[in-house]
Amino acid sequence: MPTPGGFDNGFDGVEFHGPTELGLRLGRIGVKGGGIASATWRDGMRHGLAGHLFDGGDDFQHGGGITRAEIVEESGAGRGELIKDGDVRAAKIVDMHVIAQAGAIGRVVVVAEYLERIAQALGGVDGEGNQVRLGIVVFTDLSIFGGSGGVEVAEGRETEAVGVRERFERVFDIELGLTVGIDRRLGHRFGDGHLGGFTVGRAGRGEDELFHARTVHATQEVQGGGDVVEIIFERIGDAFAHVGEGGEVHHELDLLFAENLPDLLFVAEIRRIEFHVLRNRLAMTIDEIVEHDGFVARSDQLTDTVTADVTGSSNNKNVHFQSVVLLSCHDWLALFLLIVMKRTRIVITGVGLTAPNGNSLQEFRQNLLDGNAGVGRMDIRYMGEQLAGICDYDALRYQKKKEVRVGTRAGSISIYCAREALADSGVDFDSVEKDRVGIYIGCTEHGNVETENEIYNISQFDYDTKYWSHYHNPRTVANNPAGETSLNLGITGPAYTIGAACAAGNMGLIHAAQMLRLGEVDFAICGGVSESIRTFGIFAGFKSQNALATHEDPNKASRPFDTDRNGIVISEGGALYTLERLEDAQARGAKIYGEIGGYHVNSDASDYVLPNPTRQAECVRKALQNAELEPSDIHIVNTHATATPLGDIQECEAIRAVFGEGCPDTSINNTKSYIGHCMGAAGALELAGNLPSFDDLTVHPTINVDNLDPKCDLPGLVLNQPRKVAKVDTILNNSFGMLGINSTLIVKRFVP
Amino acid sequence: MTKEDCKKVVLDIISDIAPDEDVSNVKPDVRLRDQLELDSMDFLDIVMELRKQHGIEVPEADYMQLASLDSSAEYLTPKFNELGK
Repeated sequence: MPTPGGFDNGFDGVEFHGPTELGLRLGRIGVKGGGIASATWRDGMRHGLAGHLFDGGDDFQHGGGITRAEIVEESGAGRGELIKDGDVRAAKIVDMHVIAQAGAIGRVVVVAEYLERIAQALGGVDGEGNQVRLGIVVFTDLSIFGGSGGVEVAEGRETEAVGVRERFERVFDIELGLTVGIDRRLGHRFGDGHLGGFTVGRAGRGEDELFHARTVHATQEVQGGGDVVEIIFERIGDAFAHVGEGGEVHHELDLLFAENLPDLLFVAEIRRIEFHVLRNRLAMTIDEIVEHDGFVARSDQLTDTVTADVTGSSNNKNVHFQSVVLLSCHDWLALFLLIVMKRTRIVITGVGLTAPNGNSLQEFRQNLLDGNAGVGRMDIRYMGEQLAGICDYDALRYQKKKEVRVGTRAGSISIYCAREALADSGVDFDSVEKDRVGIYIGCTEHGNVETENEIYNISQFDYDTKYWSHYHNPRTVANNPAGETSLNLGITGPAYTIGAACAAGNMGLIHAAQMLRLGEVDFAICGGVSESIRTFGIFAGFKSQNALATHEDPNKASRPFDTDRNGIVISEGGALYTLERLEDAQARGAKIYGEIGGYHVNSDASDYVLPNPTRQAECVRKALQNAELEPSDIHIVNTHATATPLGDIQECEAIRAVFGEGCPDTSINNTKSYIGHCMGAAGALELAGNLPSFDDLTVHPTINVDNLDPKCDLPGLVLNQPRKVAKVDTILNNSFGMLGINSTLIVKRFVP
Repeated sequence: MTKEDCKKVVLDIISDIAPDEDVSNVKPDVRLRDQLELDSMDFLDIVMELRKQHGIEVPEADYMQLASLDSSAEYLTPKFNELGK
């Protein structure tokens, strides 16, 4: 399974698997600016590899080794090949100069035998004459250094390395970044305080014991994304671990990190460390280390794997280890890869929306503050008049009549919102590289409207399918709303929808943030849309479920938390945002609405329709954890509550479990009381309705609560009248959907 | 039905499926695609509307007959007349 990903300057996707000979699969590595693109290493290196980094590898242990490897650089950086036959020791690196000339030294350099060749090739400067600085160096088979004067290796005894790092730097006239060593000859430490290496020792131990239980799961090692940071482990100091006399493994990681981490903090934001190590002891050591210096650590310690999310701050910077992956593999080949990325800050720079009570953020917000709901009546095929939240945006502002005719309502809403968001963002869209823009639109469902229309259409022709529209397929494909938007805007980057029922709106933003961090795109249009009121099926479905709201006054029909609530008001709408990496937004002087603070998505796995408060609470908690916030740090909780009798109580239960009584500064509200349930747009629209709170320090209320259901009586509920508050620094937005998909998104006030 | 009537029928359909176009000055002897923004899906629309509104079938092999107003009228008028329209 290829691993998606994409970081500038680094690895783009890494996956390890292979139970016996720990395998490594590098999906695509180093998309921009250096490194290896398209690498695969799998099946424990025993088998032929699907063509990229290590291709056709036979058996490392028995000299099959890497038979062919390619370091391919996209983005014009160049290409290198590592070709060998039979044994990794015989590997050659050719064409490395191409990489060097391209000005993007690979973050991974597989050093085999021909140091001088590499030195020659690299020449110490890149193609633009800049001093070359390697980000990550992986040494395979350090015994070769013995032959070239680097390390003296002898089996069975401690050996002083002769300044491999120094030598390497001198030979190459470069400054090494993180240096990772692999010592083929076991039992030896190298580095001597210079080379940050790792030595797998075997002295006094049986092979089996040393490499016992190396279960490594197929894991997406790299996620979250972001730029690889030029981290220089200047004082990497002693090796991670080494084997001393009698085979005792020494751990110096704590020392290493304790001494070096503070320095790192200047240059990097690192979020995640993932160690795949040989033994528990090392894992535990790492676990201990990440708690150094007040760093908050969380780990899932498995038999031989520890994953640590390291968070903390230093020097007034948020610091994260994004993904540090260390893995051990072969019994004589320990390969450490450290992938260090910063956690990119993502900000909201534009909002475009249409809601049943407003076609711009300003109008929408004003109506929320003024208590103006927007529910009306609509004739629904086969059902007669129903309550519905209907949008009245001007489709022809951004679409031709023919586009409206050929396209879908969901597409039209998307186009309107996208164009409005772009206009709001102030971006000079003509100068934006269209292939670097992503469109990620959450949808509850799509295609029902058009399918129902066509069935109705052919019913007028005795169900003769020759009257079925040739537009049916492009209208009903799940990506339609995003696709229509890409057509309208000429965006050639990835454009697709995210199906997540009523959690979809949040998901659009979350996914966009992820893609920006991964470097897949530079600019994202994201959020959620819904055209649900155009299908009778959703009305009939909720009615059959006894979950459709009724009220003589449409604007009083949607009444979450009220004792007389009797179900959902179905609505259409959309809210799309422009999201950018902070530095991009700042570079163009963009107005910033807020920053993506954290998020979480999970699944109930418990019922088709019934919510699960335990999982909801878990979702909220994990989002808080992701955002490095405590419940009491949240100033607005925008609830998902749809005004079903049971659903509201269950969400309140979840919120009470997380926020309880100890959150005096937390206000809780609900936007559906104004606009009904905008389904796939709900999360995105409801967030939009609250974003202005950062500026006006006002929490819009939940309206239509004449008699508060005691079971929904949460502390901090804002009922019927807006509430002025001292500060709004954080908004937590819940959106949950059928089949048990939960999403929580936290947006923070932007603080430079 | 005269050929002029037939052209009007086709033009009415086109004005529905290409609502942004000004069809008042369509030249009957020039290919429709050369003077209006019409794509292959739009031509399928013309075929569909002829079917729906007038019960006229245009087999795929004959789509080229709808290239211009003149050729459409030439091709469709007999079909209308066969249907007694």
